[in-house]
Amino acid sequence: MGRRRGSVIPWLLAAGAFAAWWTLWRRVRQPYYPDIALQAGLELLSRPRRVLAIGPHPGDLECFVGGTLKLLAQNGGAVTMAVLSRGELATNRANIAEIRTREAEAGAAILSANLIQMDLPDGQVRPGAALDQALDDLWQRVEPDVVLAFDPKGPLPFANNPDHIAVGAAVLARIRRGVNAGERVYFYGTPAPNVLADITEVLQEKTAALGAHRSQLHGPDVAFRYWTRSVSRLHSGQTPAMYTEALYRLV
Amino acid sequence: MGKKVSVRSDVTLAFRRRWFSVLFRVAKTPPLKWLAARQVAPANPALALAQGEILVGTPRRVLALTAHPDDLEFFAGGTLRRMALAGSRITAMVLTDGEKRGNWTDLGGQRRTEQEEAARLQGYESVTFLGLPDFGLPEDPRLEHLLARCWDQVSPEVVFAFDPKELLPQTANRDHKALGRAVMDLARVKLPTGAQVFFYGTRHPDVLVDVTGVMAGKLRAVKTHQSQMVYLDEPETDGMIQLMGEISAGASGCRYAEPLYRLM
Repeated sequence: MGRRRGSVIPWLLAAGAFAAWWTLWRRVRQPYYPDIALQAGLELLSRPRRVLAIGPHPGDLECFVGGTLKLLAQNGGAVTMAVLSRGELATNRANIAEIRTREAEAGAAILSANLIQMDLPDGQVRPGAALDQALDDLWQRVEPDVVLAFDPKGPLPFANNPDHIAVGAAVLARIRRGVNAGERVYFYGTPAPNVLADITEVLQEKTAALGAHRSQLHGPDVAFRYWTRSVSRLHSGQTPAMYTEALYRLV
Repeated sequence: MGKKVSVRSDVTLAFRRRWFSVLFRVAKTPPLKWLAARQVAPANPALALAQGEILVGTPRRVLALTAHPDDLEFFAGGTLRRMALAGSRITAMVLTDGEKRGNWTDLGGQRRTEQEEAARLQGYESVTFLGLPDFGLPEDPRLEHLLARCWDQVSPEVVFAFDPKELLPQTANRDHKALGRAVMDLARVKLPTGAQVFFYGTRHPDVLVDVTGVMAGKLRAVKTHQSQMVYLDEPETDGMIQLMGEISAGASGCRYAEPLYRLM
């Protein structure tokens, strides 16, 4: 064997890129049986239901299940978006909590949903008595058929917001305790979806609802719209649905 | 009891016995075990285990579909045992008698007897044999019709069937695949009934059932199928089942698990 000419750096870079791609590919998964997942999504969306969607911060629900919520509302469901914290850690502006709450109201209005704004401290949402109390309140006020909560694992292999994880963990613990009265529980922001909601017809509304969170958007509108579209296509795969949102059905 | 009538197959049998035990000994080595566990690990093991507990803990009407008389115990024996212990009413439907193997007389009859014995051990409410041809499910025109009738008869809340995608590439039994496909097609129709469909024998689990507590019972139920213990002897069969349990459990925290995929 002769000495190899040239540098190894390009090869190392290529290997690194491959590793990164592989990690992402393992994470952003299609459902195992995509067509059945799509049908399960249709079944979820096709009937009027009392929906409780729980998001840790303003904007999370619009981002992950905005289209699903809009469709549920369009099909005659009563949709309630519960936002646990005001997201006051986002920036240094003095009245950021008020601004974000107003934005959440605007987003909910676009999705034709009711908003319940709660006052847990941003960045401190953890499984515990306060969160359980908040969930009990919500269940009492809404009496849901369908609950949407953040997945207890989160969509990424790293850098998941602990507030997000906490919501899923608390809901899961609640179900494990047997408090379930027959309502279905779905997790959004999941690494292993088994339900796909086809949101192609409400992508505009989803984008608008996300766009209502002006204080959280940086950069040009075009980039934001492009980002929304591409994120909504992540799980569509080879299904006939162009834009989808991925859910994991727990019970 | 069925028995072997020809001497000619002894050579093949001896060869396969040695080959299987070599394979098993290789598969048992820690690196391969680790690799396999990694490949079949669910995205969120803790959530998968929680799902398993929710599934097992609620008494339900269960329809357990399978292609051959020993598959149910082998792939989902622990799960079904735990469900039976929790008060679920389990109806097992075995599509074929598994009668096809060379040089045995009345293998189908023997396997039916073994399955009934296993069902008694496991606590199934009933076992039904549909008597379709072994190794001929994909071509059989009665399959879908019969499955639909079974489903309507039992009106189950939980259905178990084979995963139509194979566990390892190119290793699927065609009957298992055909059953999985047929159940998948049927599941689309039955979606509004709210029945949950779980696939066992899957390589992509999102539900793990902790079967550590019922492992002894599972081993006993599998070994009831004496006619199937031609390639591995009893300790090796035990070892194989435990190995599969360990691989499925992976890093989830329990010792032995059974993997399931929830279709809907």
